[in-house]
Amino acid sequence: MGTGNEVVRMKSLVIASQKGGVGKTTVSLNLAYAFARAGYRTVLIDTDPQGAIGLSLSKSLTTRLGLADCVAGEATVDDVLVATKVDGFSIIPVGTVAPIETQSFGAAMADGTRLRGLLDALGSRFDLALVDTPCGFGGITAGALRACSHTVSPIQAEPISLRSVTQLLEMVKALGAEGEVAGVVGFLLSMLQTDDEASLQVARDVWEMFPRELLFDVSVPRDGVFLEATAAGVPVGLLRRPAPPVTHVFDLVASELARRMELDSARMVDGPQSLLD
Amino acid sequence: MAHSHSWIDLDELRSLVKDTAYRRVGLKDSPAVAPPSSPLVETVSPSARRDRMAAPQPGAEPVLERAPAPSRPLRSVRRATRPTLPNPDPNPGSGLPGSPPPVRASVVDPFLPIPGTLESRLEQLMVWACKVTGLARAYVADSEGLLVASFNAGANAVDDAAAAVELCARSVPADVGGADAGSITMVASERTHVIAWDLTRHGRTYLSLSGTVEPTPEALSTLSRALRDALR
Repeated sequence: MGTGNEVVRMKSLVIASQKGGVGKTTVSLNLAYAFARAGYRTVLIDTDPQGAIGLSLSKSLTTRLGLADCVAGEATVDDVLVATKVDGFSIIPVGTVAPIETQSFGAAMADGTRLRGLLDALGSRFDLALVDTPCGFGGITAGALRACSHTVSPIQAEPISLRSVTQLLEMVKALGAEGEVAGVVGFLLSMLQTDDEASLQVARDVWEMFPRELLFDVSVPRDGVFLEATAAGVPVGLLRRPAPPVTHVFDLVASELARRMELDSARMVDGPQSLLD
Repeated sequence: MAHSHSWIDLDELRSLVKDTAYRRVGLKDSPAVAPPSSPLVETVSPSARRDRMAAPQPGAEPVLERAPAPSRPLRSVRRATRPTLPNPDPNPGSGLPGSPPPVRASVVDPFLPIPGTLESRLEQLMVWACKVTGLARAYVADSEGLLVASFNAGANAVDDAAAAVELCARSVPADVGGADAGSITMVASERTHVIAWDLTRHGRTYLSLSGTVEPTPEALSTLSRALRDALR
């Protein structure tokens, strides 16, 4: 563990899924917030040309310089890094990607070199980079998988979602045959409806089909509070005080991921801490 | 109930999980480096932006700490070559003396689905579509943009399928155009990509084809109907 003096190597976690609407952006944002609250210096990078993170937080983020401007050679890392009010938590929005630029942006991202360069530039400032991706396995997602070290895939607790998991694994395997690729560290059940038998059945199937070490002890429920948080432009943990209970789902997932990724932080001191002095 | 997902090969899934889990792949860390301090390198016109995304300008000052390696070469766009189709006219000499030869539509073999499983009908559809269009590869994606079946996908199946599915999901969203059926053709980087769609009983479904020739309009016009017939 870090002692505060040693150099810490940043890890990078891509949130990816072939299927849209499974909660990638919700997971990315709230997980990044949970990591930051836990003391990890965290940067959330939005690679979705539609600017999902920006749309979830603030309209101003959708008009700022961002990743696309870095890729186009029009901005530096400092230009695009947006500090938040949460200590140690920053965001890099995607920037403005005109519809006509979407394909060239995807092509530029596909080999992972640009994103890897950005991650290298961020390496001394953060313990962890979370990369939110668009749905599908186009160039942007392929590039993120090539550039990052770890992958988490949300699985929506609905029957059709399971199909896309195999496709993600095939994608990771194919990219791995070509070179380095982000290894899968977890599948996170999302949008679970405990009052819906079909949703529960998917959860049971996932627990039977996947090794326990790649699942989490908690699932993300389908909860109206996420819509409230999006409407308010905040992570769900900042929606109100006390924070909604679902906030702690992400705290638990972040804690488990930190262990699986062997996440280190220069700001954290390992070992028992005295309660009184 | 766990094994009701007949389209999931559990052995294959376990093998994939084993191959792709993090500890099997190995750790890649980003090296700790000093933060960049350079301001905006330069201002470029919006028209140059797409080119700069596609490939770094020669000699340009790197924006990021580590200059990105040269990306894929800038793709050129040119028209593809149409396949040579047999002349449908059994008597090519017909027509008025002295008048230019009439423009005749190409004859396209109709798609006649053979009763069978969905998989067999989709395979028959893709084989037929490749034959009538002259294109080499075919994919079928469902209304969610998920790949359902592929034909002749080759070694680059994942990338090709990803491109096709992304085109389906992004270029032809369900709320654009409003047409229940149609097709689009894109020629780029010496390859032709065709996406046909139809409102089938399974919802909006896509047939994606790619290759190096440009299909005839007659062939393109039959794809949506064939897709519907295959999924009937």
